[in-house]
Amino acid sequence: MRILIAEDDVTSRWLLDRVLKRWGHDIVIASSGTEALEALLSPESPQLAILDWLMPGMTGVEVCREVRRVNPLTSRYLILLTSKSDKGDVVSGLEAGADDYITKPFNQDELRARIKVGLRVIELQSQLAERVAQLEAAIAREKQLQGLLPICSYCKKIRDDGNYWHQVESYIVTHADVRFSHSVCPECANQVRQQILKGA
Amino acid sequence: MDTNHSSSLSSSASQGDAVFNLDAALQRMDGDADLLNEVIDVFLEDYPNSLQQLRSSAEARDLKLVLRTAHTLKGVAGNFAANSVTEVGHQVETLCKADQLTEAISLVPMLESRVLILAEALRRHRQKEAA
Repeated sequence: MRILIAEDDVTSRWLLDRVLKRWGHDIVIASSGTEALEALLSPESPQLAILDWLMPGMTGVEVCREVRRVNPLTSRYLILLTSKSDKGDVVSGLEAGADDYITKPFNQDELRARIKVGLRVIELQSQLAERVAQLEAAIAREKQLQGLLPICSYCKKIRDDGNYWHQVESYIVTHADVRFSHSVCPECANQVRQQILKGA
Repeated sequence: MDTNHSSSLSSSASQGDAVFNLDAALQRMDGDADLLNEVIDVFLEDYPNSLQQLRSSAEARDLKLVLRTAHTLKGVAGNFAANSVTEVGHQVETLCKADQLTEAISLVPMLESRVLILAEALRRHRQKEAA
């Protein structure tokens, strides 16, 4: 997983970078709030970010607020880094759109566990997004069969948008997720039998 | 309250062992002594920049920058469980947040000297490790 680390302090950033790389993550670095925002709004943005509270340019809280304002629907899991004594600020951070926070100096087990939670949420969100896309596609197909269809009263062909007439079967096959298996109903079977007998 | 607090801080800072807590620092590195040594090296290389920024922001009476630099020093010292630095750093931060810039700036020399003491203690620790 690609993870953004936004931290202006060289030592703390180095440590985070080192630890996360050790756990197999790809790291994108930002050393100011503005750089972090830019990275998070870019098309190839990492989905998970660890944002320091106080940074030059913008604070981590401001970055959270901006990301949520600009991209309310994209899934970005944002973890704020805060110091133990700033617990009061945690509420404002979460309200600004952070998903979680971790206190500095961080404990490695706790950091790993919180990142795991983030990855699980991201995974769930992407599965959900996939399901929504599938459902939307199904609804779109369904809609093509709704509304008024012009049908010939005699031969029962259906006219499409391009003014072409189609057999009912071929029209439905192309506009819905259905296939036909051809058979003969008892009534028609009877008629056909009579015709054959007459002809013979 | 300030006087009491400061005197207790300076006495703890003057005791060599109390400058930073090696066990706690190691625990933060998941018991990895090499990682701790590397972090110390990165810090020893970078802290003069932070101190420079602390001094210049105090001279310029730049409240936001004093606040941020104190916050940074507090944060980095936390990795070494160096309470002598984190406590003063926190005080400076709190005073800045309360808009008491003059009082915050008056603590800057103390913060600076605590960082220097920490850096010296960490340097000694590295020399001891290398020997």
